[in-house]
Amino acid sequence: MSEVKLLFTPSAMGYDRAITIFSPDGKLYQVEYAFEAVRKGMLTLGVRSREGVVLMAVKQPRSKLMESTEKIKKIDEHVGLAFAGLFGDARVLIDQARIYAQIHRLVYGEKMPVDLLVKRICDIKQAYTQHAGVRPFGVAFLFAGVDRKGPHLIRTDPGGSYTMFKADAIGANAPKAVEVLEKEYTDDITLDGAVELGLKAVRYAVGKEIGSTNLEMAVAKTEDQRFRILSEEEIGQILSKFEQ
Amino acid sequence: MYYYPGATAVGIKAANGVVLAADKRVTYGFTLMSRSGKKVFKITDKLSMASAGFIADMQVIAKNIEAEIRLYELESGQTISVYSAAKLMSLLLYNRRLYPYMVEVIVGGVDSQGAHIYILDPIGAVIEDEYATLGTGSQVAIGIIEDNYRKDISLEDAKALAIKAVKAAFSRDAVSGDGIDIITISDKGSEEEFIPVKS
Repeated sequence: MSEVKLLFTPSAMGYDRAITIFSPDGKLYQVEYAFEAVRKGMLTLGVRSREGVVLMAVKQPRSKLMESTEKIKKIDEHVGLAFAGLFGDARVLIDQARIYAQIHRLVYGEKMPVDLLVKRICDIKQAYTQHAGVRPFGVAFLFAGVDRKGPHLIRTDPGGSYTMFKADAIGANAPKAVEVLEKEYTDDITLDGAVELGLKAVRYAVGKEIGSTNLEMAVAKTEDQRFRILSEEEIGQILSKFEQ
Repeated sequence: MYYYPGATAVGIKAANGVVLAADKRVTYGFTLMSRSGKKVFKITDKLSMASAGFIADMQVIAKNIEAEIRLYELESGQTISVYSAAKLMSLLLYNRRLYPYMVEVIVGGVDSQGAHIYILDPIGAVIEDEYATLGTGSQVAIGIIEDNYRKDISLEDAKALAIKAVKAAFSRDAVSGDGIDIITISDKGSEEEFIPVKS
């Protein structure tokens, strides 16, 4: 191969401008930047057990006067999600997910399978990496839910790909949290164990005091196929139960 | 308007499966169009439909529902429940609320919750039942089934009962006849059979 000295780095050659087009090395810079938006989001993690899935999201109120913005949202009776990245982008996709879940109920008379819901949302995300005049969604989701096939924890990326996980974290310091999850996750973990492990990973990754005011939590139980966001009191109780 | 075609279609839920059966005679008024019309359709391994009404409409519905269910099963990675299939068909029918498909349908099959039968009218009412009969011969057939049905009926007995009911309809309904198409569905899959009947 002949040596060609580039005058500009690829990103400076316009491949990251306006529409999402491939750079010569096969990258979509706009999508890569969207991942950056996710990495700057607050830490969010999920742990799956046979008994159900737990989601946790760290939040940081910018002021004492601010009332909390929720980072965990319910989509339907049996499924919900936590997100990391741009709140505005997340909101739009959450609205759409809720509509898909209800349409599925109307058409098939059953709860929407969690992986199918995730796929529909990723269809939208993918479309925004390909069409002209738009930018990708700067948000990643952790979907948690229970359906006929059992409990699910699924991550979606800005590029529109999705992956099933036993435990995973997204957002700031996610690699640190994943380190803990990878080390301590076992396949026979209980739901209580999943909560404990999640908290441990959050504490290790955030490295500061975690209280019921800066942590959100939700649980999707296999038993009743329900997704439930826990109240501040409940989170307080769980935090004191699993004191460091 | 068209002549309404004759038919006898029955569905019976057994303890370990379902049976769907229908005659093969196609009539328009006093004309016998065909002796080999098909009114029972296999949709998936464990799901079928039996129908009375216009043959063209039931063929379109069977093909559409089959395609929809294939997509559902590929995309969701799970087999469809009998109720979801009936619900889907209901939507297909109700979408034509003002210019309906001229058919009545029995959707039957076996899923993780066991055996189920649903009946649908031309505009898509979904009603679960233990047995049902459709078409011009339905009044005769229902009498036979009603008299002999038990909740714990075996699949073999249900099959014999379905044949008996359709045969009874053949003897008194002039626009039903020419043999019986029958599908038996258990949790192991389904079996299609043709039973010739002289009439």
